[in-house]
Amino acid sequence: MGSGGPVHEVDSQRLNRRAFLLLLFGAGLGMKVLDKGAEVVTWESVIRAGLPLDDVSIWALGSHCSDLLNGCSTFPEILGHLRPCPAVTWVAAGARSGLGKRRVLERLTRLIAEEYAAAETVIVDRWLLSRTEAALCAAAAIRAREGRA
Amino acid sequence: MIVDLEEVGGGSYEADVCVIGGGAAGITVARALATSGISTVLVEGGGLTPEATSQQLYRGEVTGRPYSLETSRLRYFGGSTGHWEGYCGPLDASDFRPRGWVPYSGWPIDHQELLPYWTEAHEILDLGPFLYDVPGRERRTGEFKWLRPCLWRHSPPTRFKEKYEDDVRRSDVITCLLHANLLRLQGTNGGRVARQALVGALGGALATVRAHTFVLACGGIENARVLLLAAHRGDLALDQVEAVTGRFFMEHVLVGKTATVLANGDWWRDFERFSHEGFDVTPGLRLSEKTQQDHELLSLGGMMRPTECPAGPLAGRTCLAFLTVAEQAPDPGSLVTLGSRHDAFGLPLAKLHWRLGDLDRRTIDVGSRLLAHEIGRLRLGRTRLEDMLSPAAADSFWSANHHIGTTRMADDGVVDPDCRVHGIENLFVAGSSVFPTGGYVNPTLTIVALALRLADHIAKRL
Repeated sequence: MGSGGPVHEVDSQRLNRRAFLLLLFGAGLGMKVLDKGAEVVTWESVIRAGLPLDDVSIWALGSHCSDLLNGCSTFPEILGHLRPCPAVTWVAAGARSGLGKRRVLERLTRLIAEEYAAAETVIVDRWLLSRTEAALCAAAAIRAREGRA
Repeated sequence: MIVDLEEVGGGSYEADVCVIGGGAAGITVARALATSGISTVLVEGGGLTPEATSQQLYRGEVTGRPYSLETSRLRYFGGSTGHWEGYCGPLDASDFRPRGWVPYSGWPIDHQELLPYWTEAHEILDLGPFLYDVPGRERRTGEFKWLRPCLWRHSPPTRFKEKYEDDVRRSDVITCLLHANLLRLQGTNGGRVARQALVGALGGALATVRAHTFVLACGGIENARVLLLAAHRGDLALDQVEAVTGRFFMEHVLVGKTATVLANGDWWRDFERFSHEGFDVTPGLRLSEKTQQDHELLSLGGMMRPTECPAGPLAGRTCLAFLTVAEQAPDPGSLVTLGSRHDAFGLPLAKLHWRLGDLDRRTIDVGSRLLAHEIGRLRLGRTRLEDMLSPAAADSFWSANHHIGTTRMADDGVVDPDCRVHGIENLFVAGSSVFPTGGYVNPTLTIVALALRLADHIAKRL
């Protein structure tokens, strides 16, 4: 964050859409891989490591996040707009190489803490979230919505 | 000894020093002077217990932010120590330095100057050792980036009436006049030397007090009012300070909840009040000096208070409210003046116009965001922020009943570094009205420390 700090943070209305989408895509790839592993890691369980809310609350929060992605109301639509995100594909690569759930969570936790330290944060429904957390919430919300449809 | 003006019906008194106001500052000055054998008449407007008729003399006019002039202070022997909560701490070294982003900041004395007096004030206020760094208490919270751990020490709280009435009563050199309300403070030599205080009781008794030196210790609102009255009547030569007297009224801004922290684990228990060597302390967090510089903020501190999580998915979990105490920036437009209404003696009541500025609000807003970032960075939980810049948020800003800054210590202020009123040879001011800035910490410890320092100075002069 340096001397800039949170006074320069973006709020939910000003979230850089490109950065957001990149993160979301990376997270999506990572979680797809994880979902195929021996140990199932859900979107919600990853989010809950930092933000201990129930599934419904996470989806509600994610809806606030996904509202930012105008015109992208389905998961395939979002994926179609995205580019790989190094930070989260790094997590996915770790998972492919056999990292367990604990290691994945450790790495994500570290990544998220670094984002807080760098003020790479957004305010969503008054919650201060790191960008990755917001992206994970959005993805969880969209997948849940598609699952219910 | 203690004399009740209502009972004796009047008289003339003379002493080395006349101290006007029998609260924490005035009693401390009188007791400290007594140790040097210096005689004092301690003039107190109230009695030994709170009385509605006396308390009504504290009524006044309020414009600007809501404020209760009558209930935010007590008019009887011991003053507002009769209802204070006992939170204490010294100002930070950085509070004394000029800050480029805070107009009118900077004290003409430094932190080191007050250290011996803060230590002595600790004894007076029953605070235990002068120690504000208790090792190991922050062990589970890790290294902070924007914040720093801090401590409040708790006075029992010391009620000056309970603790010091007997001292004053038995003293050979202190004469405490009760029910003696200051009516005039008159000077000689063209008003450059204070010579006599005229005091009166509500029942009609009048008395005069003559002294070599006078000390105003009536609190942050009345100190200004007394000087403004003396200037208005031409009793003292206050031309140099009249225009600034009463200006720069500051408070500590309390906000019950700037942020709700959803805690991850029980680390927050390290911020619970605990006993250290038999004395209670409460750990807290404050903005570091560097953070204040980098973000151009005022000083701000706060305490973590467990609170009920809001209903819904968080019900049953531990939430923490961050009780915030923020410094207010000096602002000449936040001020005490003489009002149009009059008290029972026919004297103009105080009129207070308290206002907050952009820097005050921004400090609270950014301070709570920095807390939220720190909580996330250290993996202590997640934080839900209140919108501190919304018009509705202003309603959640409370005053702490700390009256600061109206007779500020500055070359272009009201008093000099020795707390002497500019232009008057023998008139001094005690209390938080002399603070040029107030930091975030409660003022009583520094009020008592400055009173001790003032007594030392007067003792050397006499």
